[in-house]
Amino acid sequence: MATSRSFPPETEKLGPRWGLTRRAVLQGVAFLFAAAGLPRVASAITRAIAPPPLQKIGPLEFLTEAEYAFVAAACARFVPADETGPGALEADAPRYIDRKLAAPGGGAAAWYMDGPFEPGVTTQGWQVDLTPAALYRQTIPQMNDAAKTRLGAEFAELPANDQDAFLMSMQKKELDADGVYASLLFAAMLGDAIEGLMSDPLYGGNKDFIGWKMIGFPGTRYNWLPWLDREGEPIDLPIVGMYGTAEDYAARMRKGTGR
Amino acid sequence: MRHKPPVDAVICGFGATGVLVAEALTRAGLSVVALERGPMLNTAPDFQPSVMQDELRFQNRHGLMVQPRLSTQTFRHTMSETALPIRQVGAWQIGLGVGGSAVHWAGQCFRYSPDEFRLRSQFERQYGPDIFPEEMTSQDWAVSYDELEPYYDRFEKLLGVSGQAGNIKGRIIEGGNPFEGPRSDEYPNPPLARVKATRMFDKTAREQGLNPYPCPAAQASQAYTNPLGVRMGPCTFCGYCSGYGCGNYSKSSPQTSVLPVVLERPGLELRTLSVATRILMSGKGKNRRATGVVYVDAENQEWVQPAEMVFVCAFTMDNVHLLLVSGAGTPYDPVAGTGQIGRNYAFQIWGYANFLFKERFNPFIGAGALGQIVDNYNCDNFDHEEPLVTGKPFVGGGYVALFQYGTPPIAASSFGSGETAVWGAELKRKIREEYLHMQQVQSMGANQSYRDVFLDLDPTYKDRFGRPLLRVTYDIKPNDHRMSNFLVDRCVDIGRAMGGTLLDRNSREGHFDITEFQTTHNCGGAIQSATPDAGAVNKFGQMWEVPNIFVYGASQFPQNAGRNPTDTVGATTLFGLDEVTRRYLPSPAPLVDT
Repeated sequence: MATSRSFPPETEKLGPRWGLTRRAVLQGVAFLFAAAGLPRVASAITRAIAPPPLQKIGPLEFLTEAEYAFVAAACARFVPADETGPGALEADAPRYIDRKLAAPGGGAAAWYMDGPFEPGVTTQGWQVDLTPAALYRQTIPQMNDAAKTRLGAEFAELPANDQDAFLMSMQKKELDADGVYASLLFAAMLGDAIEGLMSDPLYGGNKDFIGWKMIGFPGTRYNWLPWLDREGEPIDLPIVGMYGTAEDYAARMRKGTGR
Repeated sequence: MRHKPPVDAVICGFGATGVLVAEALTRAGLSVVALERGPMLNTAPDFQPSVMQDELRFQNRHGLMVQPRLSTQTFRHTMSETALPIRQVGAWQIGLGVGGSAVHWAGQCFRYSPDEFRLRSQFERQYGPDIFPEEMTSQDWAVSYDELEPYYDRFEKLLGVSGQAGNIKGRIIEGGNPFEGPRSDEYPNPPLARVKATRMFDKTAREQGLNPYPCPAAQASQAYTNPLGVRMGPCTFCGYCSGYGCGNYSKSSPQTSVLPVVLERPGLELRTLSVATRILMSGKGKNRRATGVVYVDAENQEWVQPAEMVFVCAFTMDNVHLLLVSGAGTPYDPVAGTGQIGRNYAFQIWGYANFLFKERFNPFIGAGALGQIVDNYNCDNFDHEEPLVTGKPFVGGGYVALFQYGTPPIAASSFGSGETAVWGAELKRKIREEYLHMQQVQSMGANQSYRDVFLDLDPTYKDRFGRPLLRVTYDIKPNDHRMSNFLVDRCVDIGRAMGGTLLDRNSREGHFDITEFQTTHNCGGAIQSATPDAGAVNKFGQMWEVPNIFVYGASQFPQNAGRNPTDTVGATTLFGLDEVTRRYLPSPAPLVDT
């Protein structure tokens, strides 16, 4: 019988129809889901063999200015700047979050989102009929209203200690109510802030490797054999990501040319 | 529906077991079609280091995994709870594309000990039948260690496993695992190099009178050519291993062991982006046979692929799902106690204890199977009664180990979840102070099977083809909680003796949490058995009820052992295939009399 070689023709043919949109590439979605119209299509999957290209930081892509202020204030409290150095805000974690939420499907393109939706128990996982983008959009105004009622100002305008108390209330489910998913937004934002602090800078956060310097991660290197026998001694090499050193990233971003 | 030309055999799923089936059948001269729901994946161009070294894309966003949008299950803890869909990748991660989960596995390549294959009779003999709670349905395997040994050997040579033998033909060898079953030969490659943390673990374990040995690693410790002529290069410990494809031809996967050869065989046609949705069945009773498979291709076209034999080679859950939606075999009914498909589903009880040390490590250096193991608390290698085990004895055990996989920065910056998630100044302190000084001692605990833990079809939720989702009914039972607590206590003993300060421990107290990634060691649901009343397939993987369907993978396991499953998945598949080519092909019939 005929042999399909490593690249079956159907895969190549699918490229233009189902392949990577620029947006999807930017979001680093490895396998795409053509959600609309043809849910049965197996080909809603394709291979993506390149890392997402670098993209110059431009205008906000999803968040409104008011939403951004909320997210930025939360990031500043999740991993604060202090005498030891910058934190998640300075690393551009909020810009990372903005890009993530602008992705196809609002960050849930890969999730199973068919109904019916029932609350279930927490150990059954996310059971809310909201994408991450919809969760942010719906919940941030609710939280700002709660902050005004409780503390007299929108969240971003509060002093740091009030912000901490408010975030704690969100985390402890004190602000949850029917249709108000405060604790879910807290968990999503905290996870997203850590991703924005610690992921490769190509995703828009971890600016100048602030996160990796903070934790002591020397970057993505291909060969650690020379360091195996060196008993954990510090690595005297520059930090590198998928696109090279911090200078390489900065230069590429300035040019705005992606690769 | 349009029909493709008939072939001798169709393979559903082209991962760890599917490629072995294709190799054996094309070697025997058969015409074979392999259906794979995901894309083609190969070392070049898909796994280049400049593509793979991206934690966000491949860990947090599950870039190589089956996403729930494509395929998922529903989950509930008990039969009285309502199962809800697993909407995000959670407790397990199933690989998508050619190579399946054997692309992103860690490469920990253990044999099961001889006792694992006779678990029920061994524990009954040793501790009396009362050690088995009434609801526990763990049973002996149909195959024995001695039968599997040549196939373990062959699989390890295909994969180029790096390890230290502990028992060759009954001769115990210092530095290996003294509890392992007799091996016919050495590992094909010497063990991986060690790092500071694994040396510390080894030294402490020895001082405690334990028998540490290097994890059998499916990462090549040196250049290697396998028996099919496929070559591997030595591992460079880049740290992007578990969760990623290897761009260095160092981690064993179908791509680095079998695929380059099998794709050249004229008998094989591989169709990627093609989902087998149903096995076509005909006849009743003893004449029940599969006549082929229905699949949907990349253009949304539905096809019939007629075939003389059907090989079900997808991941555990997907094997069981395909059988259930096809009416192949009798579905398990936990109330009536009838049927076999879906019975004895089990997972893995993975526990750990985290420690902070004065010493600095370089935790970003690593490989998925770079670790030291002790097997002293596995299976029946120890006395399950007092004084070592306080309270009621339990069935099972597990290994205790220290691995240095290569810890990436996002995972290393996340502590706790929900109401216990750490943030603020405390999070910053932990990020700054702990990463380079933390090590984890972990336990890979067995998981027994139970009457009310099983797989069936969900009554409410459907997949994108309109088929019911597979429903998982699962929770951790008291026997397994006791076992896991015992094992994590041992992790704590060793970590403290190494000089570590305990940060936290997790023995999986409470109910099973679908949101927390644990392992991809799901097993059972189409289990092998010595007789048709005790399982779905015979020891060669042939269905008792439909003798031209063969089901390979961990779905054959009657319960889970205290070890990673892949070596046993490979060995049971090769064992079955040998019998298929020797006896079934000349004369298609049941390979075990009923």
